Amino acid sequence: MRRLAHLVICDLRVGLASMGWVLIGIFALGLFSAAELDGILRVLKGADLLAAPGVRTFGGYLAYALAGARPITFEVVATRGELPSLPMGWLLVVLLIAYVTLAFPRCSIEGSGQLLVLKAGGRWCWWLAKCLWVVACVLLGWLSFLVGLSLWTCLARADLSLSVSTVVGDVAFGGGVALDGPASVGSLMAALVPVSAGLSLLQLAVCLVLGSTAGFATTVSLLFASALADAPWLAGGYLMAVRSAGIATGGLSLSGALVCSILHAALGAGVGGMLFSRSDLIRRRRA
Amino acid sequence: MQSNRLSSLLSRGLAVPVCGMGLVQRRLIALELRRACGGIWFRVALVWALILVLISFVLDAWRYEVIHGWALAFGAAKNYGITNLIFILSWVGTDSQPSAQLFFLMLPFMLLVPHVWSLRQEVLDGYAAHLRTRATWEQCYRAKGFAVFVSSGLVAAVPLMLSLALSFAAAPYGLPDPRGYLWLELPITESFALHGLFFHAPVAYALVWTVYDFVLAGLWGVAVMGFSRWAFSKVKLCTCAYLFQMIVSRVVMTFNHLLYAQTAGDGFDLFTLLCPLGAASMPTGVGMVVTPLGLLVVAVCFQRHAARGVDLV
Repeated sequence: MRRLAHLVICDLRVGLASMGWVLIGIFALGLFSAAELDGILRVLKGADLLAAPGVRTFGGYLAYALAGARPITFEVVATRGELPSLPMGWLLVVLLIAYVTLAFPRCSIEGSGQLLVLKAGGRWCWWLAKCLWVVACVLLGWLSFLVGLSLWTCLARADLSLSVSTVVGDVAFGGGVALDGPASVGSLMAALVPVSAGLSLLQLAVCLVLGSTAGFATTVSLLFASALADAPWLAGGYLMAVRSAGIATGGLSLSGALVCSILHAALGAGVGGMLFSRSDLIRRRRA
Repeated sequence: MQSNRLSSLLSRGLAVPVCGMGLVQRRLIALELRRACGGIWFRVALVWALILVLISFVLDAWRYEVIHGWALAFGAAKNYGITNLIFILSWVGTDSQPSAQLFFLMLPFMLLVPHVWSLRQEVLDGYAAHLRTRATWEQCYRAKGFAVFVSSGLVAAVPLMLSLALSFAAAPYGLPDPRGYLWLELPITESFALHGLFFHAPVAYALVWTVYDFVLAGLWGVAVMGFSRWAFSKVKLCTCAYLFQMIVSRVVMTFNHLLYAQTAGDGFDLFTLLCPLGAASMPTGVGMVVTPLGLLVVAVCFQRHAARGVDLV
C-alpha cells in the first residue's frame, strides 16, 4: 500500500507536469465555449436577451459546450444516406481529456522506467498506480474545463445555477429538440468524471497492449460510434447534454452512466492488468 | 516478400520522374520510398483504410438491394430514388455511410502514422548524422520529404481508388439526374465544390477528388514532419497534429456561427477538405486553396528547422 501511494505520488508529479499545458488548453476551451455561446446569443437573439435573468446560466454554458448529437438509426443511415454532422465541439473536449492520459503510461514503461516495475514489487502494483493516475488526470481535466466555464459565468455576470434555459437549449441543440420543462445538467455533470475515467482506462489498456496509436484510434472510434448510435454500452452518449436524462425526456440516466463506466473501468483495469502482467517487457524493450 | 517487392517496384516507379537529379539523390529517394512504403505502419494505415472501404462497399450493395426491392414492389407509385442510385453514390467519398464518415474523421491521423516521425527518429538515433557523411542535408531532406508526401498521399488515394473500382460492382453505371437533389436523392447540390463535374463526368469527379486528396494529404504529412523537431514522441506528434485540426474545425465553426449564423460554411480543416461531401456550402472554395497553400508554406519552411535539429546532434 505504501509503495502504491509512493508510485501514485511520483506519477502525479512527473506525469502531470508534462501535461500542464494540455490542462491549460482545456481550461481555455471551456472559457472559449462559454464566450462563443454569448456571442451566438447576441447575434441570433439580440443583446437585450443577454441581460434577461435566468437565460445565461452555468448549466447552459455546459449544455452548449457538450451538446453532442442525437442518435440516428442504422437503417436510416444505410438506406437513405442521411448522416448527422459530427459534434466536433463535443468531440474535441472529450478527446483532449483522453489525450492527457495517453502518452505518459506508455512512456514510463520504456527504458529505465522498467526498473520502476521491479521497484514497485509487482506488476499489479505498477498497473494500479497507473490506473489511479489516469483517474486523477481525468478529474483534473474536467475540473479545468468546468473552472473555465465558471470563470466566464462570473465574468459575464450569468447565474451559477445548473438549469438550462429554453433559449440556450434552442441554440445548443438546434430546432429539432425543444426543452419540455425545467432542464438541468446535474446528472450530466455527475456522469462526466466516471464515464470519462472508464473510457480512459480502456484506452490505457489498449495503449499498453497494442500501442498508443491503437489506443487513440480506439477512443476516436468509440466516440464516433457513440455520436451516431444509441447503445447503452457506448460511453460517449452519457457525455452528451442532448441525451442526458436531465434535459431530454427519456434520456440516458445517471445510474446507466455509472454502470457503463464501471464496466469500462473493469474491462480496462482488469483485463488490461491481466494482459500487462503476462506481457514480455524485455522483448518490448529490445523492439 | 510480396510487400517488399511491391515497395521496391513503387520506389523504382516513383523515382522515374526525378531522373534529372543526381545518382545520390535518386538512390536516396528510392531508399526513403522503400522504407516509407514497406514499413509496418504504412501497411497498418492502408489495411485500416481498406477495411473501412470494404465495409462501405458492403453497406452500399445492401442499400442498393433494399431500394431495388422497394422500387420493384411499389415502383408504380414511387421509385425511391433508384434511378439516381448509380455507381458514384457507392463511392466512399459520396456514399454517406457511417464507415465512410469514420474514414474521413480518422484520415488526418492515419496519414501521419506511416513515415512522418522518421526524420526526428533518425536525428535522435544518429542515423541522420551518419547519412550526412554520404550526402548533403538538402538531398536527405528532399528525399525524406518526397517519401513522406508519397506515403501520406497513398494512404488517402489508394482507398479512394479501390472504392471507385468497387462502386461499379455495387451499383450500375450512369449519369446522375441534376433534378435528383430536389427530391433528396443526391447528396451533391450546387453549393458543393466541383458539382458540375459530378453531373457531367462522375468518374472524372472521383479521380479529381482522389488527386486533390493525394496532394493535400501529402502536404499535410510534410508540414507535420516540419514540426517533428519539437515533438517528444511519435504519438504526441500525431495526436497533437490531429487535435490541431479539430481546433481549426472548432474555430471555423465558431466564426460561421457568429458571422453567417450557420453551422456549415467555408472550412479550412482536413475533415472538411478531404471529404467531397464535407465541402458543402463552399461555392468559393476558399478553404480548398488556402489550406493547401498554407501547408505548402509550412512544408517548404521545415527544412531549415529540421537542419538546425540535425546540426545540434
